[in-house]
Amino acid sequence: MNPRLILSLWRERWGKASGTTRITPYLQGQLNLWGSQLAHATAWSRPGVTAFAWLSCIFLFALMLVVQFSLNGQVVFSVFFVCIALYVRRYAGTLVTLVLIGLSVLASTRYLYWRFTETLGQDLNSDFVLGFCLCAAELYLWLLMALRFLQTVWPLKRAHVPLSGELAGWPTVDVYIPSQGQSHSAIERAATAALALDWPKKKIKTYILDDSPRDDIKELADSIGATYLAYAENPAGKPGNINRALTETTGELIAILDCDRAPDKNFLQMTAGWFMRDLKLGMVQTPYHFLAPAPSKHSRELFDAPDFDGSCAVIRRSMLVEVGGVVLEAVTDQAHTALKLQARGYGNAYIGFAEQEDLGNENLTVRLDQKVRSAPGVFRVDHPFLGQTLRWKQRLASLHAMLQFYYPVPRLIFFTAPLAYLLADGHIIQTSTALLVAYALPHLIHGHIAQARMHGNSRFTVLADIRETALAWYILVSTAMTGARAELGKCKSAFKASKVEKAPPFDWMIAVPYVIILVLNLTGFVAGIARLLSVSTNDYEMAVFYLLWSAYNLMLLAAMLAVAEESRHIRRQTRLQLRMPAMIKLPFGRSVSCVTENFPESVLVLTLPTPVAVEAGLMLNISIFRGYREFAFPAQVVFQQDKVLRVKIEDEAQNDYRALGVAAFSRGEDWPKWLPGRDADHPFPPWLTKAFVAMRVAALDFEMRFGKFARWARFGSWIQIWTKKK
Amino acid sequence: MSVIGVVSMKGGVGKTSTTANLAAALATKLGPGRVSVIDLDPQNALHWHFGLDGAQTAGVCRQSLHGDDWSDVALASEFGVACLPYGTFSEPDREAFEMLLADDPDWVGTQLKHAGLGDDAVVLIDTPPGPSVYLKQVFACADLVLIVLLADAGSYATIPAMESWLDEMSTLYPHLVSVYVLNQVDRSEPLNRDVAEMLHRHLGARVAPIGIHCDEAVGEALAFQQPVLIYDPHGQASHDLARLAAWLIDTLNR
Repeated sequence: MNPRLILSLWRERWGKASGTTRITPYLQGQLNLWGSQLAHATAWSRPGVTAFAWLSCIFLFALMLVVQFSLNGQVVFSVFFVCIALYVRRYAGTLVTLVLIGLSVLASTRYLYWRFTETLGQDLNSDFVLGFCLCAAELYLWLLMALRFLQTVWPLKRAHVPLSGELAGWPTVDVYIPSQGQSHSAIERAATAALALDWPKKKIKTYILDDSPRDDIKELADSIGATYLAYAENPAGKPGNINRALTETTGELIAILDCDRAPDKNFLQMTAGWFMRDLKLGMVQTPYHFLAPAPSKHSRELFDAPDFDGSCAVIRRSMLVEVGGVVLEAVTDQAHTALKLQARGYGNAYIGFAEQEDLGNENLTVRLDQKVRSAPGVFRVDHPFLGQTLRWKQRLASLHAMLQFYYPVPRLIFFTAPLAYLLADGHIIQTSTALLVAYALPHLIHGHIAQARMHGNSRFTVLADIRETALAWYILVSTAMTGARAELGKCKSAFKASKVEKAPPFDWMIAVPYVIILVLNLTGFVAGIARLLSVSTNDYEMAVFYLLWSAYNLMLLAAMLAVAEESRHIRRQTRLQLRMPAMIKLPFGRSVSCVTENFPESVLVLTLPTPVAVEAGLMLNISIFRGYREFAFPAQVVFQQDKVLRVKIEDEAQNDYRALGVAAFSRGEDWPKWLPGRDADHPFPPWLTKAFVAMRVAALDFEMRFGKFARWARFGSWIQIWTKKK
Repeated sequence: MSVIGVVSMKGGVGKTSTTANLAAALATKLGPGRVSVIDLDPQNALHWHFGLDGAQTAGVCRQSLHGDDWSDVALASEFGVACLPYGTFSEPDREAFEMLLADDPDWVGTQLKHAGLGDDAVVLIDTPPGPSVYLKQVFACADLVLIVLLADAGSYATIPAMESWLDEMSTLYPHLVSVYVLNQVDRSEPLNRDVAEMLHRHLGARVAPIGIHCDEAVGEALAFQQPVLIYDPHGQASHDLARLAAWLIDTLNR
């Protein structure tokens, strides 16, 4: 996270044009050459070499873990390794990532070992108990980090499987569009996208599953050639609808598309190949993109671990029927369906290509709502070690995801720990501040570098921090409640559109726990400053340390409250709308250049450069431009006032118009790239790097002008190294 | 100096309007004083588009016969474009001028060289339809030739003649770039749309990606003796001309 990225996010949020994209490719250099030479050395094939290497590595690792240094020794030791990490991280390659991870694990483990053995104090008193809690929290974080590293070391790069050339062999597909009170236009969009899927028309059927019969939706379904299935009096909500539709439809594969998602045209072709190749495969999950992807997405990507997010999946009918349909009682229905499939020995696959768009949630309340609902489900229903057929990697991923839900505990401990010192004068870390910094700083720096390397392109450290802070309390409550209850509670059914409309913008009641912690931290901060100012104190450094810690907490909490205050983003359209250049052709021969405001809608709003007087009901031609290409449609004026013109596309042109809409939105692989600067990690803000380069340039300038005597410095070669990075 | 010739095999395709409007669009992009237009068409109609006096007798025709410099007949217009009209003439004058041009294929080129235009000047030359001595002159001195077409059967039929002419010329002037521009495009009319599609398929990248849309404003602008970009800046034709000008600048710079 750096100022520039914040700026680009801001621009994106308010629809400003974004700046140039910033790509920081990793270098390829001598280091990579040495790495590959080492990896492909012939010596590895000799007996005993691998074992010897492993043994010596473990021995060295253990030695570096437990060896005790004086303060100076520790500083030199840390600086040495941090320098190595900083140098190495600029190069490409998995080996470099492994080195960074190794260094991070080393620094963290060494820090933790030192914390447990040296800083807890000898006497059994409240200081010891509180200090131990803090250590335990840090141990938990270490465990999470280690699990995450283990999972994501070698990504599983899975492509799609091509279908056979014979159309006759392709499976029949049912596309379900479950609706729970969604608006006409939302359903129309999803249904249109489903109809545009590239698949033989005889082998695909689209069904709109509604939870209460509505005439206008039925009309819509009839007009576009979908089947309308409405189930009144359905207590089980969306999964219930799906299960009932299962009995009425016949397709071999079932694709479930939520109303707020639109698949790419080739979504089925990309996924169906897997079913043809692997007869035991029960479900294929595909990704969609969030601003701050949850870590569990990574585990999915890597080990086919079951998905925890919901729709966008293709399921084989026979197996779904065998496991009794979509799981009714859980809210994260598809996750449990996936786990059930796995328990029977049917495979799940996750394909890492982009074909969905998702606009995220409209504000924190809804976000919380979803997350909290999924928490107990994942935690309780299917224990990662009970399903017999999970592979160990999948178990690891599930364990990681399960452990994640305890994250609030250490989070709350970190929020309150500095208070013990600032308010109650408790010494929970019994050591000198200098030593603590010498141990903790490399642990943090290495962790940051390694994380940025692994997740830098999809996860922002500070954003993720704020998000996790926001969720911490509610997940804790929810998890604890579920843990206490013997059976899984009657979870709220997936939220309905009508409910969202009624939901208040974030209300302060929800933020109360954070307000309390914030007030406590503020009190602690003030008390700490008072302590600093009082002359009697002799542990000046310690007070500063805790004050800084408290200040960081305050920052996070304030950010969290700012998120809570975030005004509600009312989303009338469930999908993006495009402003595209357009033209209207008036009946008396004039053509006027204009811009569309809500492109794929069938009632199109155009913004004109000057007011044009046209009467409602007038027929005219409009053209929409995409690059140099032009698409003309007949339309009828609905309304005109000043520079705003609403036209309705004529019925006979509707199909072409929809096809253009689908084409415009089917940018497939572009979606993950929509945010500038998301393509590489940036542990250092660019201005810092730039300042460094500027210094070098100034030095070169100096050398050119004054200094034959400064030739020894060879600044030129340094500049090359740093400017190569751009 | 960049020279753009505007030509066509068939009359009535809007060549003169295109020349004038494009010159005005280029002038708004490049700034005043850099764009000139030369009328090599005996119809002597180009100057009307810039609201210049028609009773003016001097023009490139007589000026050449008298052996005087062309820069003396350049009329400054209020739209940032200098216009050199063909001028009024008697029949023997025209025949003598055409004889002169037939004798020296580089006559226009030489005149342009001696006109004292800067390196960054852009000159557009309007020509009469079909093969003529004027056309030959333009091919000899132009950097880029714009071939104006309508998306209709008549224009489509002239393409083979144009292509064979271009083939001949490309042996003489291998560095010459020729670009087809569609005028009066209207995608809502089936024939217009189909011919445009066919032309794009047939000629590929040699058709400029931007066509000029059918727009009454072009005709109305001439009635008001203004370039369309000034008369109706929000019309689609103005929009297209501005884009075409930008695209031409790009192409010339390449």
